[in-house]
Amino acid sequence: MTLPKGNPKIPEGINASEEHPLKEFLQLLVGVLLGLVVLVVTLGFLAGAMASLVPFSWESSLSPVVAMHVDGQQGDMDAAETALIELSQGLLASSLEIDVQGDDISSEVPPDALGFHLIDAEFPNAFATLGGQVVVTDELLDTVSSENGLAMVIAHEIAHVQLRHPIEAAGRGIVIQLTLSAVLGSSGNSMLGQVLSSGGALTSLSFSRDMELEADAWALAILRQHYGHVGGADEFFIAMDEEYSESAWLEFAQTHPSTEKRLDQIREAVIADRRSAALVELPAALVIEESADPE
Amino acid sequence: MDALIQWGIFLFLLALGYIFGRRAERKHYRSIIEREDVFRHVVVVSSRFPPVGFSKHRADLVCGNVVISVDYFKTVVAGLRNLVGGNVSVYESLLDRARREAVLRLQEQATELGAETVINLKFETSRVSGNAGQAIGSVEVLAYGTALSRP
Repeated sequence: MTLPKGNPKIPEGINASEEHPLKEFLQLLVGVLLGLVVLVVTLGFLAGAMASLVPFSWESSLSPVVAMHVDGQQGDMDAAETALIELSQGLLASSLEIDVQGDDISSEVPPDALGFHLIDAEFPNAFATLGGQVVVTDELLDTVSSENGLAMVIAHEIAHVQLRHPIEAAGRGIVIQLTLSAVLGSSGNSMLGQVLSSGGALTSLSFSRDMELEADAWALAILRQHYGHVGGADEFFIAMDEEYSESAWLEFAQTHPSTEKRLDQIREAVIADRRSAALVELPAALVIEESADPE
Repeated sequence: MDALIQWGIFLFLLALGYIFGRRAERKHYRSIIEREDVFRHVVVVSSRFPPVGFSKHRADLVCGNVVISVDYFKTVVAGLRNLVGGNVSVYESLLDRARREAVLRLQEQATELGAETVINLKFETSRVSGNAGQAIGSVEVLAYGTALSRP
């Protein structure tokens, strides 16, 4: 064996590729994100389709217990809750009278399974949860000036229950979270996993926004059946829009569509109705006096 | 909102890792290529036996050791690569640098001993994980061989 005169010059680009690292990064990121979006959308649709197959009685067994949590003015709150339940039952009865072409969406949920509750809370809010439990906060009563405005909110929550949205959202949430953590937990970089799974979670929020618009549409139908018109349906949303004006560009990160978008849908219905019938006054029990409220 | 903050922090770290990592890599490659020319005369081979005419030379162990850290950008690209498979080219350049730097340090040591050549070159590599958990934190490359000097 003889030695060479010197070491050979190492040719570049064989052991380490000369491709720009950003190119590889962008290709991977776009590919993985697209894959995740497709995965989440597919799972979301499947979970949504499966939700209506869950018998309502199963859902009822998951139902949380709603307690009133009142500090002071127990009597007023009791009267208000009774009035609220009365109004809600009226709306529920109207919802069952609506003529529906094709599948009757409300038939799966027994009307007597629905429960209505008034709770003491800091924020104007209303929600429907598993087992058909509809909850309205007392603060919300302050933001509406007519019964029609409050009825829209309650009808919206009844719509969520009748459309099986709580079980759909719960099922979808579990399936998507489990899948994302199973797929992304192995990426070896915890922050990357979190960021990618938040991307997946953002995608799944579009299902939630669709459900809100769907519930708004069904709520308008209930209102029209109950009052003969949908006047006043936009009251709560206008109040919320003034109080908490939100940026439209942030919508993709929200569970609810922007108030603007929802108001558009409601205004369209109000115009389509072409009936400016008089609004019904809020029942006296539901008018929460300022003095009853410490703030 | 939380998600946006998380994405913000992530992109900031990513940009930081990319800008500094890329700068360090370029600078390192320039220096490697420069020094490879300087040490070109110190021939390094992997043969286990001394060449003809070197049997009377003095033999010394020489080694060159390097630890290079991964930057955040590289770990993210590798993390994404983990999901789909394929060449992790961002780590290939990292290890290429480490290997060549280790040989250069070995040659430098051999030069100081007055050696003419280094035979029986071998490499060892290991992962210095630090607190990177399952991921790669830094890589260590050790090059060692037998330096032959004129008696």
